[in-house]
Amino acid sequence: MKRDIGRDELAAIICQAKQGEESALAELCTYVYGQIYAFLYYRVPRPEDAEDLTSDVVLKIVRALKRQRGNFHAWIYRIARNRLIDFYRKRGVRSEVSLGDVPEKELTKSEDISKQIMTKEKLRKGLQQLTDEQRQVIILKFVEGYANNEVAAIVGKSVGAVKVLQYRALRALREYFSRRGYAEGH
Amino acid sequence: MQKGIEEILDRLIAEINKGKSVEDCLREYREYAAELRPLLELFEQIRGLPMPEPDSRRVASTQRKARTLIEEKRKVKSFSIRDIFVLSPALVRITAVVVLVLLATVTTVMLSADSLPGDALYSVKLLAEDVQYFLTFDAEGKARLHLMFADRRTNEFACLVQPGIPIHRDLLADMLNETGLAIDRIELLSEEEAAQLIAHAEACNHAQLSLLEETMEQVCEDDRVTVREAIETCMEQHKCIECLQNGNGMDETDCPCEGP
Repeated sequence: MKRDIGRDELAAIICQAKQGEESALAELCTYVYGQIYAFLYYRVPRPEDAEDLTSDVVLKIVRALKRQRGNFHAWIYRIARNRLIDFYRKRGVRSEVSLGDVPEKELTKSEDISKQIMTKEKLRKGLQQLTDEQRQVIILKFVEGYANNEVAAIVGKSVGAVKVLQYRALRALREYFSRRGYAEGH
Repeated sequence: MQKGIEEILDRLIAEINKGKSVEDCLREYREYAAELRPLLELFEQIRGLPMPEPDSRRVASTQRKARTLIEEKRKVKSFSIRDIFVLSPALVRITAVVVLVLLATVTTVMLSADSLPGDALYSVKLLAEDVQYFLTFDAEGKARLHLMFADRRTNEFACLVQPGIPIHRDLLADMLNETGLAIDRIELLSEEEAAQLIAHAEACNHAQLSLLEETMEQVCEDDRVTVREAIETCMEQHKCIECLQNGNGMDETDCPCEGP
C-alpha cells in the first residue's frame, strides 16, 4: 500500500539527504511528496490545491532538513499542518468545513445513493465533519497506513487516545453518511 | 464499557488488515456486532480507496526546485565565524575558557579595588598595579601612576589607623615611597608635562602630612617615632616639590630627598 520505504532505509536516505547527496534528496522528495499529498488531498477542496500545498511543504522541508531533529514524520506533518492552516487563513475560512462545495445531488438522501460505493470525494466531504484530530487519525491510519504508535507520535497523543479518536471518528463518519443517505451497505 | 469498544474496534481493524473478514471478526464479539459492523464496513470502504496519487510532473518539478534550492544554498553560503566553531569544536572550548578566564580576572580585579592590607584580595590589587605599571612605557604615565598609587596607599592608611592599634608600617613606607618615586619621575619631565603633576604631587604630599599629624595624636608610644620620621620625610618631599614648582630643578646639594 502506502509506504514502500522501510524505517532503516528511510533513516539512511534522510541522513544522506542532509549531507546534500543528490540522489538521496530526490528519493526523499518523492517519498515525502507522496505522504504529504495524501495527507492534504482530503483536507483541501481541489486536488490542484493539494498539489500546490504539497510542493510548498516539500520545499520547506528541504530548506530546513539540516536542522531537523527527532521524529521525522511528526516533523513533516507538523509543517504540512501549519501550511494548511495558513492556506485556510488566507482564504478567510476558519475551518476546513465547506459544505458549499458539496454538489447538491450528493446531499440529497435517496435509495440509489445508499447503494453507491465510497469515493474519494465522499470521504473528503465526510472528513470535513470531523474534528482536526479525528481527521488526522483517519487519514494517517486508514489512508496512509501508519501504525497506532506512529500516528500517536505524529498527532502528539497517546496510543490510547488515538484509539478513542479512531472510534469516535468512525462513528461520526457513519452518522454523517447515514444522514446523507450513504449507508454502510453497497 | 466504551473504552472496551474502542479497544475491540482497534483490535478488529488490525485483524481485517491481516486479511480476516468482518463477519469472522464479529463472531468473537457478538454482543458488540450491531455497533461494530457498520464501523468496520466503513473502515473497509475507506481502506479500499486508492491512495491519492500526485501528478508525476508536479513531483518532478518539485524535485528540480529542491535541487536548485540546495545548489543556491551552497553557492550563497559564505565563510562565517560561525563555521569556524562548527568545524572546530576544540576552538569553541578554547575560546570559552579564554573568555571565562578573562571574565574571572576582570571581576576579581574590580572586586579587589576596595580591598585593604590583610584582605584576601589585596595582593590581587597590588598585582594589578604592577601589571598596569609594567604596561606603561612613558615617563609621564609612570609618574601619574606613582601618584595614583600614593593616593591609594594614603587612603588605605587612613582607613586602618585606629587609636591604640599599632600602625601598618609597611603601608606607611609604601605610601611615602610612591610619592618619592613620583617626584623622581616628574623631575625628568619637561616643564609643560610636569606642571600638572607637580600640583598633584603637592596635594598628595599635603594630604599625607595632614594624615600623619592626625595619626600622631592617636598612635601608641612605640609608633610615635616612626610617625615622626614619616612626617619629616613628608616635609623633605614637600621641599623637593617646591624646588620643582620654582623650576629650579633639583641637584644633589639642593634636594633634601637625595640626602648628604
